[in-house]
Amino acid sequence: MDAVTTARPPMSTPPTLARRLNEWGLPLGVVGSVIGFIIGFAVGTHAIPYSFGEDNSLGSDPGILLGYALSVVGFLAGMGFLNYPIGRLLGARRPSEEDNAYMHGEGGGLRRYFRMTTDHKVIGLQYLVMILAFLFIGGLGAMFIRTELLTPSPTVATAQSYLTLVGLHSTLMIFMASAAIIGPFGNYFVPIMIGTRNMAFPRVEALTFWLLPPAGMILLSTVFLGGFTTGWTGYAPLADQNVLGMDSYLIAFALIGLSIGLSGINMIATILTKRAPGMPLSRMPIFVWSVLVTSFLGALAAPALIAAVLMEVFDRSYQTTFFVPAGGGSPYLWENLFWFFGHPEVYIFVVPAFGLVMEMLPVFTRRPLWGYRVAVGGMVGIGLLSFVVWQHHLFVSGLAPSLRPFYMFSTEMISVPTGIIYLVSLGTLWRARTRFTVPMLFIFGFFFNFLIGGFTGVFLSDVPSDFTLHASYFVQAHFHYTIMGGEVFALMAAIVYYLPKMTGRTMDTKLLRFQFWAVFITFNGTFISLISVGILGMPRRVISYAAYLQPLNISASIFAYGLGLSMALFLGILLWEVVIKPRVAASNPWESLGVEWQVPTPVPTFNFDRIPVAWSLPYDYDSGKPAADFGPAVPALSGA
Amino acid sequence: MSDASPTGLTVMEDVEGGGRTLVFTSRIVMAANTTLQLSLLFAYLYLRANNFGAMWHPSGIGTPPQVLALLSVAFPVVTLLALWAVWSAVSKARESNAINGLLWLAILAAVLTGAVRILLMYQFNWELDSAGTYADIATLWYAVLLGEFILVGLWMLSLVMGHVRGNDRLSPAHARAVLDQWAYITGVSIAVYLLVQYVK
Repeated sequence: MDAVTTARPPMSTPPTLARRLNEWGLPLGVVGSVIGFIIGFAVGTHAIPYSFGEDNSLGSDPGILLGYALSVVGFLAGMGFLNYPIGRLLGARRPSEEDNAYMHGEGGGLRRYFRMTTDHKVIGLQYLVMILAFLFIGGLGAMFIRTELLTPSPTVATAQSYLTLVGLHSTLMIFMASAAIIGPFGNYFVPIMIGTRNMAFPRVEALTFWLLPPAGMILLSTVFLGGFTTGWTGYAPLADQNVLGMDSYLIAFALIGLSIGLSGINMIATILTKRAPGMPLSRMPIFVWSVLVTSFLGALAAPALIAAVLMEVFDRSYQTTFFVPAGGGSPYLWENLFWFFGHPEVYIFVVPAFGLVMEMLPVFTRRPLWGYRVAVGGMVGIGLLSFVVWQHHLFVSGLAPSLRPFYMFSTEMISVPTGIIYLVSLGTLWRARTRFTVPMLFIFGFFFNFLIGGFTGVFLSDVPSDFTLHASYFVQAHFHYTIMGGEVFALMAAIVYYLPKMTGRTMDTKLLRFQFWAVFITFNGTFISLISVGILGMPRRVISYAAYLQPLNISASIFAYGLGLSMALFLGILLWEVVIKPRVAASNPWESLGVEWQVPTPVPTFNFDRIPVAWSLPYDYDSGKPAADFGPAVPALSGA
Repeated sequence: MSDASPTGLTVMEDVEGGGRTLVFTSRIVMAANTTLQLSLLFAYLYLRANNFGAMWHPSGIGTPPQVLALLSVAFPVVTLLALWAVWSAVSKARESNAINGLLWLAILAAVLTGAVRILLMYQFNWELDSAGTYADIATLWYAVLLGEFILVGLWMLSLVMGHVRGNDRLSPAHARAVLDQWAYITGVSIAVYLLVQYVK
């Protein structure tokens, strides 16, 4: 462990063919995906001339499934993901340091954002842009849904297209929510926070990102294949009976599962084996802890989803009958496997949101994080319990009555560690000199919304009340309170907070304060209305409803339009201040003690000249002591 | 150019997880794979226990051919033994020509594993739409294991090629990681063989 401060070698040799091709990664990826789809479709259609769903002139399930699968392989090949493994299979030398620097994006300018790179900071920004784009598309879907529900009977859509719209909106949002915090902020900041130059497996990190754009596009392509009517849960036997659009859902969900699983494994390896000296687990920033817990959830839960999707793919293409009662299968099998993944998935959304909030709270309260160890214990508790609650989703599905008390108890138990984290977070606010900045406003919004989300969740964990409320708008509103009111509010806080570090730009706080109040009021207006219609008995996923529910639905729709506009305003401000008319930020505008704020902005390509030595947790605002020793000041190696 | 920090800890150029990261990650992958295998086991036992419509294992539906099924677990064991011998030699820093021979033996047995398993699945001869869920889950499970054998086999081949061409000497960590993965899948495949053949 000798100290060596070495400058990376400059790019001296002319670019190789592989590098030249890599510069055109995205267009080549698109070409590769088209070629892959054509080959897969042709082989699948002619080799396995069978389709489980309705007859469809567009093709057969095996053709579509194989076409999609090979289109993803083609896309990745075009992007250059196969170069390294093929080289290794041929026994080629390992990439040189210069090659690695190139792949890291050194000197790559803006183009590196459109190709495969191994720089975790570039990947973090790629995630952020993609997630915002898909959230925008999913949000448009919500606007269409609310427009349709202005009246009790169908007006704009048919029942089939409405269900497809609901399924697209929900699935797209779930996809993006699963990566919304770990994707941009986990990838960007975890290596810096733990004091390493890169992730344990940088190519795998790039892969986890580049699986998502094809997943999103494949999911959206369902509209050309008749859509799917199952919603995001993909319940059998409806999934077996659906037209070809269901195949889009299956392949997209498989890709998301793969991305979540690989990302989790990579994060665990990075956090547990690449921390800087002086940083035992007890000195890790709380956000890193949240990412670690979430990564375990992703790595261990996603394979159950992949197993379920494989069964459904086999049902639809090889005539197996896993979920077909006539053939000996059972739709409950899907429900069990899906929710074994699906419930930990909810905590994949929420735990990192809490991590971010707790990371920001000390900065704006100017006091140490209260109850750090208790908060870590709470996160670990959530992680463990989240694997034994899934059957509460099956309370009304014919679950054996003798099993209900256990799952009711375990589900109610999970509110204990969740409540602990919540209270610990609030403890930091006690007698604090709180700075009411824009991120702090969003944090307060997060607390308020999550409280309602948590309370409404208790009713759904309780068997008698769940029997009344199951599959109603109450569930939908509960879910949106935790995920949108919780995770998305934390996401917006984090964007405003971390934007100066990630881009060197900042956002107009006056407009953002207005935007916060707009989004807070309209969000609550929308979902309190929907809690009400749920209690009054309106089921989810229906295009028609009883006439007496119309006033509340109109209220929800009007607030939803306001919510859509205020979210669009956030995106507009972001676009304006970062891209169109950049507003330059100070290097540490929040006066944070975090390691990530002590490195230069823009962050050097390899983060540090020398690996820092951790001194303490980065929350010692009483003394203002920095959290790490960076050694003598050495000029940055190169700009990011 | 040593430079002690005020903490008394040594400032260093990079945090190189290296071999430790590789072996550790290999075990995390096994943990994730365990969820996948347990999901398939859950499906197997769930469908078997409920026997919906008496369609778990209808009469006339056989089991996989015994000889091929046995071979499909015997060849991975040969690979496993060869890999263990390689790891043992590499970790003791022994340089010998025998390592190359053992590596090629491991590759040969791995190729035979894949070939036999493809042949075995071809020999199932089940009409899956009416063969019951026993046939369904057996087919899927064998397909998943085949995919895993192929993936780890390709990884093994990449290590062997680098080693044989002298571009990348096989490290103990690499040998250990690939050994762990192969041992895990071999163990699962033996368990699946026993389950499918004898717990019908």
